[in-house]
Amino acid sequence: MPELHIAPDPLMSPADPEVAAIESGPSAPTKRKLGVGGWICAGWLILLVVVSIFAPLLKADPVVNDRGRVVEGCGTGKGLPIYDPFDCRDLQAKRAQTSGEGSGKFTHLAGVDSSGRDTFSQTLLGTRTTLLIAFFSILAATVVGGLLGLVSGYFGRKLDIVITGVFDVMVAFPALVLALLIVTFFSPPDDPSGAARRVPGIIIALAIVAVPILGRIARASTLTWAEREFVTAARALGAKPFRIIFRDVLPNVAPAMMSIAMLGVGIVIVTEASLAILGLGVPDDTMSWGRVVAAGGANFRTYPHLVFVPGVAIVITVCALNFLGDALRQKFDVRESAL
Amino acid sequence: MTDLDERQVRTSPVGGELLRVEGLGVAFDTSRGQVHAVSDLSLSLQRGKTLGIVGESGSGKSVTSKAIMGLLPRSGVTKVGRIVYDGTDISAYGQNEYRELWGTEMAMVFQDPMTSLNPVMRIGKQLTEGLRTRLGMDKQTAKETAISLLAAVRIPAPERRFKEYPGRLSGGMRQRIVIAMALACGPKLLFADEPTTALDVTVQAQILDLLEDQQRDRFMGMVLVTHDLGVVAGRADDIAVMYAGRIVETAPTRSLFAHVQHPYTEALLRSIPKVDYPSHTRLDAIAGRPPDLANPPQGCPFAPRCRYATEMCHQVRPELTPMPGDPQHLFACHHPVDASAEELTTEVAEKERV
Repeated sequence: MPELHIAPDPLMSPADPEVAAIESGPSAPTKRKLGVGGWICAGWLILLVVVSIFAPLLKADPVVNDRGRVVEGCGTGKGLPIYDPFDCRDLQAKRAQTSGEGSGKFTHLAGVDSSGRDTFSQTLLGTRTTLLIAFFSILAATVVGGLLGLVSGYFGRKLDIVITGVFDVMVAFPALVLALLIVTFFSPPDDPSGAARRVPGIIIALAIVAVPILGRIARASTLTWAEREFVTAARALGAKPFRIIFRDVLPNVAPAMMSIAMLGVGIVIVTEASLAILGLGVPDDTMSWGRVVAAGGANFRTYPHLVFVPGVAIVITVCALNFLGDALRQKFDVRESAL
Repeated sequence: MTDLDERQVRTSPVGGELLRVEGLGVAFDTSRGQVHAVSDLSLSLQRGKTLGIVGESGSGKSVTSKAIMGLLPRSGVTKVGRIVYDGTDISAYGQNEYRELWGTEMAMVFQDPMTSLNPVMRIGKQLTEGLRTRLGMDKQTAKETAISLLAAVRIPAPERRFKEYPGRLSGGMRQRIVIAMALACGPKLLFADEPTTALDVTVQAQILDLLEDQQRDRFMGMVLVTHDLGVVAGRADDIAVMYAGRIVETAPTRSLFAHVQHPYTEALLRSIPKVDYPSHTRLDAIAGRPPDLANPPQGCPFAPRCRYATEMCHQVRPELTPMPGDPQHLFACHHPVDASAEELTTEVAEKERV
């Protein structure tokens, strides 16, 4: 007769649980690592930040006349093939691109747009605006949405009904329509002075669109954590509600929120591009990925490579944020450890 | 007598009543109507004494302690009755008034140490938070106090544990931390809500001994809630047996075990395994289930499961009455057993073998 194997009872402790606990701790946490994929994603994002800070410095100097006025924005042709995204209009290269011959005087890594401006440089120099818009809109949405969600989930009752009601109404609007509405409200396209308010307008619009998404996550997470006994225990020791919310609930809600926020940054980058395509992107004197895509999109059938560079940048960034968000959540999520 | 004198009498460290509960009732609103989790419950606890509340799951023992502590959910609950703590009527206290009592006057040790510590906060921080906010200690004093508390609950290497997260500790160790947290601000009344249910049997006795020692050292009143009559037998001064939200028998421990009156107490006693039972003794489990508290039975709630029940038991609910010759021993039964614990358990051993 085969011997019966009885699985060890996971609840059974070693002979002397107290001693075992003192020696090593029962669940000496194996430090979860980010993994190669996580580090590649983090590396890409770090690279983007570096580019957004230093790209303007890499730009070749424009040619100026005696009076210091720019006569040609395309620089001297030395150094890296990075040009001014507005002033460098390389018509020769444009003609060469149109006729299908090789490029002319300058090397253009990803072609030139209809005015002869270098697409690669535009993408590189647009990184800063794109990241700023994405970062600040999600930051604002995380703070506001998180606060509303925490308060709503913790206090419940009427406050909860009001806040979730507002979230539901906001979510019921198609996000892009709502964003268009808010951008138009802050900086009407036909108002010349509105251009200065366009970037803040986009940030506010995208933040408002993202608030209910982050708020709902915060609320749902708060509901489960506020039920936990340690919250009651903190209450029973005389801690005040906001202290409990920030000290006991928030640190537990944060990993989930961070993961969604990183995903949100990606979504916001895409939405910014959508706004640009719809003509409500960054103003003319500012460059962003969305604007490059929008400009190249007009000639997409003839010159698909024009949207390739900014498009790929967007795709890689969104994937990197998504993957990294997940990896970080797994790394910091205590629920998956021995609890 | 002046106000000052009165206060001195009230807070005098020896003797006197710490807690009095009269006619406590707790009802929860559910989709099936009101569930009367606790009905007409009265109890009293002297300073420095231990009261054991015993009953099976759903008998209302945890709800009772939560109701006294003011920790019931904020909505869907009706609470009636009078709660007097240390001479002050606190029955009408709200969250803000209770907050003044929590921690410094009354504290609670929760059932499951796995969930009653914040997993993302270092043990030291969880311990010192109360000390700093409630007692106004500075960082260094709070740390020293916390480490001495950890030592008091017999945590080895307290300085090291101070910096660690709860996830590194075993259940028994965590429960010691929970106890240390409850003791931190020097409460006069400690509720221990099934403090050992989630723990290994080997650790249970250690935790109970620890609670007992601390209670004696600090001269706290303690309410020890448990489903195990054996746990309170040697530790409580008084015992209240609860069934279906009511106290069915209450007495000083010695008197209770000497003259078991209620058949439910008897049944609880018979269901405890004893070392000196011969092997293969069949334990006397209590058949059936407690009544549905959404529509409680008209008669004695234990009648359907009671071996002595008569027609009268199903019709008329017996009131809590004192035992003849012992006014402190109260029970609610038409057909009291009146036997000692000794007799009852011997009977089990003789009767049934498997």
